[in-house]
Amino acid sequence: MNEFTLFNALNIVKRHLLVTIAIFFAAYWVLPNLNILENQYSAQKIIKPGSHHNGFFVPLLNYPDINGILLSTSFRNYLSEDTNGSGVASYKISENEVGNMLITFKSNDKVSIINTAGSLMKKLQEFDRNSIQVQIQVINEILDVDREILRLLLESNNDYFLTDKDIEEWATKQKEYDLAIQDTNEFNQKYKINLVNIMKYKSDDTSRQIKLKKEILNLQKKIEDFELILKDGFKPVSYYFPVSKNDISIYFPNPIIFFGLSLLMAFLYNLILLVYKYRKGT
Amino acid sequence: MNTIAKYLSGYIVIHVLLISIIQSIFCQDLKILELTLIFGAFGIAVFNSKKIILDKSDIIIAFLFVFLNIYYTFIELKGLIFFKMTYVILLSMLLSKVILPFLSSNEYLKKINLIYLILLVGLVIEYLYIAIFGNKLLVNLFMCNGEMTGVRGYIELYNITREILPYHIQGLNSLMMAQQGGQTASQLAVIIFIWYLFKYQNNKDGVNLYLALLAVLMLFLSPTIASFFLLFISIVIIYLMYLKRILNEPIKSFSKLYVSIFIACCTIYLLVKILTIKHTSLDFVYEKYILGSVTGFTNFNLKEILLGVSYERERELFKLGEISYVTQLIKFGFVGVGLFYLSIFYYIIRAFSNKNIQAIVPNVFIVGIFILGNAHYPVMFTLGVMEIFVLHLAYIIYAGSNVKKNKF
Repeated sequence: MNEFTLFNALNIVKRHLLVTIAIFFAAYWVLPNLNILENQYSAQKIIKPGSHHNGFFVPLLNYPDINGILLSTSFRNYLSEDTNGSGVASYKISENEVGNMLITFKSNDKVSIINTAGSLMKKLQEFDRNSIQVQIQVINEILDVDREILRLLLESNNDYFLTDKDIEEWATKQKEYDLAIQDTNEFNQKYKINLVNIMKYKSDDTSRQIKLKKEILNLQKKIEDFELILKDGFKPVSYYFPVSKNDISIYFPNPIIFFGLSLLMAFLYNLILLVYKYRKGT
Repeated sequence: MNTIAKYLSGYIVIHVLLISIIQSIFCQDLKILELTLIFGAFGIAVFNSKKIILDKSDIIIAFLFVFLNIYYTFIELKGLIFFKMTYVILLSMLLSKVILPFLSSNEYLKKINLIYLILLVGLVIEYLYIAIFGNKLLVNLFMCNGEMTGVRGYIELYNITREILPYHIQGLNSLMMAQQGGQTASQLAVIIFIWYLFKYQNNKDGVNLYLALLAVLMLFLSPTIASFFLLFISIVIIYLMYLKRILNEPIKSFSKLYVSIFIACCTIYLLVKILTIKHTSLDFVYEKYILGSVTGFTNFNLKEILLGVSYERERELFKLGEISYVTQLIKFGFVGVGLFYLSIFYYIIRAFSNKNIQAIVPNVFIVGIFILGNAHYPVMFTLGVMEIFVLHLAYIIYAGSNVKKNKF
């Protein structure tokens, strides 16, 4: 019985080295075109957490909440119902070193990634909107009261207004009264007090008017602010950029995998060769 | 070639005994030396390729390991996670071709004996040193920041004997350092016990018996639960082997049986007591360590069962890594784990088919105990210990190979 030595094995490998290299390159060239491996797609999106106005705290979804929701089975069931049979892509949420929430979708179908990403965000936004709604109700109640006060202020605006006509009327009456009394010839004694009174009335009324206008303006500003808060103050969770087909890329098979497969084929050829020669040699 | 074999075996002895110490002094991971060793052995094999006789099984097994490495590295993109298992098998294969055919069995076994002797003496000196001077100097010299350097070095270990003995001495690290905590020293003590017990059985030299008992003493002085189990299993197997020998002899009295039953009961009681020192009950141990380690498997698909799961999925499904077999199954799947253990099993069966070999039983026994040790931490895959395992496996591979068969 002949002995099969390492020398024999190395010789065989050496003699077939060119064929091995050829098999490797041929496999590397042919395999990607054969489409024998099903394409696997992935998309990574950054989740932007919801935000609220500083004066109105809303418990919006954060990373642990979203992670918990995504892990739950009922959420998965919801997604499978909501994606209308296109299949649910697998997803995984993680947090990078700067604190961004990253969600990665993987599937063998691009459409299912888009649908899953859309449904997932829709549901997450529902959670945030429910929380936001509570504060919106509070703000609406405040606004209702403020609008009512503003209406009252606007309506009472001219009620105590001291016009020139009022002064003329009042002065005429005063003159008539003074002429009727005529108990003193001292002008100052006769008119001074009355002029001061008019000046005081005018001044008081001016201040009142200014105060009222200021109050109205403040209230109008406050209402505008609240309306702005209602419009832009609360944002539910969202993606930084909307999901599109451009976000999706193939992650399997990739060139490294084809390299590995080609290497496997080249080694398999050598194994078959060595076993055959071994049997033949011994 | 004889000289090369002699030097290479000598180098391996030095490598085994010093690598962990040097690694711990400099706090530098010396895994690269594994590569050097395997490439060195391969270089020697290529250099003397005409004298290296191959078996068909060697070719197939080596290629299967290469295939799996390519698969895990390039297709699963998990990196060289299968390297250690490949290293163990390929290095054993290479040493069985490069050293053993050119060295007498006695010479080879003497090298292993020397390693165990130094390890045992090391354990004794370490214990005495800690008892007298404390472990401050050892900690200062050999301790490393494991997270930063990847090397743990010498660490202060908890010792169960604290609960029993009136004084407290930290757990032993051994010359291999505490790469797997207290398991390394205690498992090595069990292995050394088996080695010297079989040696005593072979040559009836009382020194070997004392060395075996000394190893058991060291185990009792720095025990771990897993090592106690290993010792228990070893004693049961040794007893069964003894029973097999005396099976045909007529029964004179049952006194030995009663003693055996008494000892077995005591041992089981002791094991239960040890297991429940840290935890409230065996139920708790079962639920936490056994169930906690295996429940994640229910979520595996077929591919994951066969070829393992990704790191992320492992972290997602499993919170515990207390059972090394389970961790290996998670990482490599049934194919990877199966290939490794079945290859070893195949070599053992093949070795037993060759009747004309000495010392095959203790080598197989030790390989078996090393593998059983994986029930907890993978001590056999730590630097230095791995090479000891390789030396035993190389002997087994050689014992069953065509080269050996043709010699007889």
